[in-house]
Amino acid sequence: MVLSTLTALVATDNTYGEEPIQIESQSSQLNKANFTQWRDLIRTTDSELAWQQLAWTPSFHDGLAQAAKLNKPLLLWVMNGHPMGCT
Amino acid sequence: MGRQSVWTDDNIRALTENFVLAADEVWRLQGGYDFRKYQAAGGADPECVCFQEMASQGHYGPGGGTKQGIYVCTPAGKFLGSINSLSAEAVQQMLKRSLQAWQELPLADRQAKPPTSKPKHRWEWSAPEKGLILKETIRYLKNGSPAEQTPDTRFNHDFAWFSAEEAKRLIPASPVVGETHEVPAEIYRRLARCHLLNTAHGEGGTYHADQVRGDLSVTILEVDPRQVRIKLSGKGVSTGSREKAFGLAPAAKIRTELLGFARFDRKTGQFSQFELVALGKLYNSTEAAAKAPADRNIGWFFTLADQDRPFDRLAPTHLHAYDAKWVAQPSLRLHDYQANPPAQK
Repeated sequence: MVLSTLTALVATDNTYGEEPIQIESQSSQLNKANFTQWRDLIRTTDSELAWQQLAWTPSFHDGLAQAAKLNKPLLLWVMNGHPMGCT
Repeated sequence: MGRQSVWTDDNIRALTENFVLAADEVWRLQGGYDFRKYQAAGGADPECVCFQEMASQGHYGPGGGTKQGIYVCTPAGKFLGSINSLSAEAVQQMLKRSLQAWQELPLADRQAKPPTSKPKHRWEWSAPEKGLILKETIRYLKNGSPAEQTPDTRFNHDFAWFSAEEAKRLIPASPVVGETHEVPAEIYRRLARCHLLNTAHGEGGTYHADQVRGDLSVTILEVDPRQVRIKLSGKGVSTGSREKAFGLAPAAKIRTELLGFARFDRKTGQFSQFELVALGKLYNSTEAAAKAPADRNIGWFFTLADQDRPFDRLAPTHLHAYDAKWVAQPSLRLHDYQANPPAQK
């Protein structure tokens, strides 16, 4: 049952496209019983994120400022997408 | 991937004690495809220009194009060395050469003050106050049940942001246990366009609003004066087009199913728990039928970011493509991207 109080907040077109959604025949693999198993399979472990244990600063500017403060050279790692995020 | 092959190497980890370490996103720093065009168009963010001048002396030379890699420079931005390699040995040799160059510099050069590199715009600055800040993990999956699988080594991280107002719209004003409602369209659309992507092993392109279809609903599980517990569930399909893609093309087709559980604190007006799993079937063809075997399986997991961790405060990779007025855009946009087609209802 759709709550009437919320209806006004919801966009009028909730199919998110001009054509009807045709995904009903898609078989479901995900349910309450196996939810935590899928979650634990996908999420990362600390050992997989060992590179994050190094003391990275999160930007070039912050790194330069920290290097000046400590009188050390700056090691900068740059990628398409932040190396600590999606790259 | 470099973050596993290079930065877990014991010799390199020991060498890094001699440096201040920084990591950053290069597309913005390098000014898009070509820093010369960026500067000619008036691009002048001090942090970006400082990087462009330094990196022009590096492994990719003074021309345009990508400047990805590992650089060493002085606090004043003077170039000392660089490389782009997945080889721990090659990176180790570059770091040693750069460290020697640093030690041979006159004291005045080592103590030179940093250049003006204070940025004028960073995407992190748009983080929504008291909003829903989610950390996303993306990982390829194999066929079969989760119990039959071991984790694939190809995974990635990203972040998904919703403003406080957007997040509150997941919870009705007067929640009743057992009732179900569909979530506002823009919430599903943002997830599908910018987050349910083929990015487990590298960046991927986003979908346009008219390329994603799906439904996502909220069921009220528990209500008391302090909190509301909900279930999220839904399905969707996204169909990409190489012709319509800006930059990287998204997967030709992804079919997804979603299930999650969350707890909303009525006093703070924020979620205190949030876990959402999505499973996806990736297809190389836009014509793949619903029952066709997937060319690859993928999974996404969203949970609350830990705001005490500096790298949980990074911006979503595709924040530039969010359909959200609260996202502050830079004065010179590097992504000429239209989030919604003009005819969108």
